[in-house]
Amino acid sequence: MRRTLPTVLIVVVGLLLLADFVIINPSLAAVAGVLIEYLVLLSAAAAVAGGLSLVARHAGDLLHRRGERSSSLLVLVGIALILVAGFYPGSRGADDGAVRWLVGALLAPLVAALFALLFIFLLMAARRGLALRMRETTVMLAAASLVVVLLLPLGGVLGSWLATAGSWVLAVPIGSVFRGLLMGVAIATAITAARLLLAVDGASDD
Amino acid sequence: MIERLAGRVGSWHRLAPFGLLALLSLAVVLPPTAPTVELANPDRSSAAAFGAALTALPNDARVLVGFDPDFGTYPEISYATRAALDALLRANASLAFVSYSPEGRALATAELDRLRRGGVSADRLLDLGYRSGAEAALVGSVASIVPSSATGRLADGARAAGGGIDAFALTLVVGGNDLDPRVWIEQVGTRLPKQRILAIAPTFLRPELEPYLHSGQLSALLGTLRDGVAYAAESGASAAGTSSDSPPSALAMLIGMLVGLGVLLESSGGRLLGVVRGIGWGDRR
Amino acid sequence: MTSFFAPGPAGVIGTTLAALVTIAVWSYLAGERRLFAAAQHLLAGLATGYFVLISVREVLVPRLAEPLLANPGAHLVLWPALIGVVALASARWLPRQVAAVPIALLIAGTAAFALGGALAGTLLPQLAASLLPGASTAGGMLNAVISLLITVLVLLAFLHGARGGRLSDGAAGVGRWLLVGGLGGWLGFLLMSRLALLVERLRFLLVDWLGIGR
Repeated sequence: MRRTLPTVLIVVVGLLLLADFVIINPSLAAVAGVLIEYLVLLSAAAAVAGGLSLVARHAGDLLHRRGERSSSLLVLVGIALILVAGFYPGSRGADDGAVRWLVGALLAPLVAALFALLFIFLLMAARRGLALRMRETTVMLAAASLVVVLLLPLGGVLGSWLATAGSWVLAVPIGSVFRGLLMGVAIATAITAARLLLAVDGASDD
Repeated sequence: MIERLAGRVGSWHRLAPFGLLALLSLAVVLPPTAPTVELANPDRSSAAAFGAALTALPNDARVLVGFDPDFGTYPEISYATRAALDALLRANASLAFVSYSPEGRALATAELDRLRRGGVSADRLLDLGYRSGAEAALVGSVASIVPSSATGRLADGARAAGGGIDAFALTLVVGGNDLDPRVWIEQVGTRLPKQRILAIAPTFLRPELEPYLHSGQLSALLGTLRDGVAYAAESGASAAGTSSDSPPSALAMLIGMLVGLGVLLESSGGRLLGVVRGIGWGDRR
Repeated sequence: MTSFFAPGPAGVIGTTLAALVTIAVWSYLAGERRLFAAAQHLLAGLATGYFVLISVREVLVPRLAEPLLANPGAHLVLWPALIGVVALASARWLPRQVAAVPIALLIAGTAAFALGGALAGTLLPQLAASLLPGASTAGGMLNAVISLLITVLVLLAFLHGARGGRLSDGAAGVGRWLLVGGLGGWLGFLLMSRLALLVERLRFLLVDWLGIGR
């Protein structure tokens, strides 16, 4: 098994952070605190790296007349609009009125409009799933139908009965399925993370 | 003949989304008339538990608001969130906002601005800003969440109480797609087991959060639109301003859900019965 | 989401622009692909710009640049962070081995927090909640037994496909169907979430923007 600097770093840093989680020790906590600060800073740097990479790619496409140039231009205009509003002299960054206006007028409604379409697309996907005549799809859609009935916004006696039944269905059958699912996923996550941190089978080799 | 008929049906299917939008639009602008249509959940247990957790706070309590909803789901929970913030402010609590996702940060700045414009005094609001790194940032916040640059009564008080998340009497997590309350439970709840975590989350996260509510890792949860509306109605929400400060039209929700139900049941016919029989005979397709 | 705007002309223009981009995205339903694609590219640019803006202004500047500029000698632990940040931000132009070091740190952190969180935050508490339900009434006990049975069967479904006895294979099969049903239930909740957003967006267009039924 080849051991490289990144592999050694993953093992040492990962185990240090885990040790800090289970052992109360001021020296260990101080080291873990520094490592966590590095992780926070590196995550921010990763965002900047992503941004730079996107700008380089689309600027390259524009300069070399590759691909859809209008699309590249729109990406660059979007980035420039926010950065100008957030970095002009005297700007308060994300809390600046100009940034908030851009987010409210463009960014937020674009995302919300896309998500709102998902209701229609989900129904279309359900129809197509049924057309495939898969038994799993039928059971899944039957369960979805039952939940939709229980969530119907009705008042009166019928509404109260549906709400009570809905609370039971959520707490017992669905809650138990999700408990099993979360536990299964937690076991899988723990095994994968442990293999990575212990460099088993070259999982973290360069 | 059959092909022509199929073509006609196909074009009707293409028009169906517009028919749905037209129906929903009509329901949105119509005044609510049918008393049997009620968006607030008649089962008030979740709303009551959430309200009780807020009213149990001591006077002048410091509350940390982990604000990480997203643009795609915030409209669903904004009504309940504003009602909860209003209730906390009425109980004389001070609110410190922190975000671990970009969209959460954008929405937090808008909510803080709305509260300031609404006349909430500056010393009862604290903007702790954005932290990159999700889990790492949350773990780092356990020991230190108040930046050295933060000033004012609330920042000083939190700093004097240790400067970490446990310097706050309560944590209210407003979750969404990018960072849901489960991450708070896994990273903060395990390190600060005595810290009470309340959550407001969009409906689709409700099944995932149910086990944590049942195990007591979440103190209280407003996890569906109906629970949120029920809570807001009981707490006497006063967040007036734009029409977006009111809950979605109950009639439009009912129509949309009935249409959805129709589509889900359509063409399934007696297939479910066949599936049940199939399960009984084993897993052969 | 009109709370982004203060009252005034800027708010009116912002609301109008928000309505127009909403219609541009929804034009996809009418088969208009170009407007939809344009909206997607603008969204990608705006989201990236915002992510970069807050990462620089709210993290890198106050937590790295300002302390180092104010007193370079007092923050010795930040110098390695600066090197890592520069290496990661310029990873596109550096040799792979150099950028691999900060990426390894990020992987280590992600794995360690995922492992700790999954075990201590989910697995153990949920195991305890399943086995020690704390119900006092007969109905509560019955619910607890049903819950435990479903949870065990769903957990067994994760073994589906692995060699086992006839009983465990059968139980895993039932668990798989329960899992499918549970995910179907989740689909019902998801539909309600998405419908709530669709209704809110329609209200934004009709009431907030056009003023109908206000």
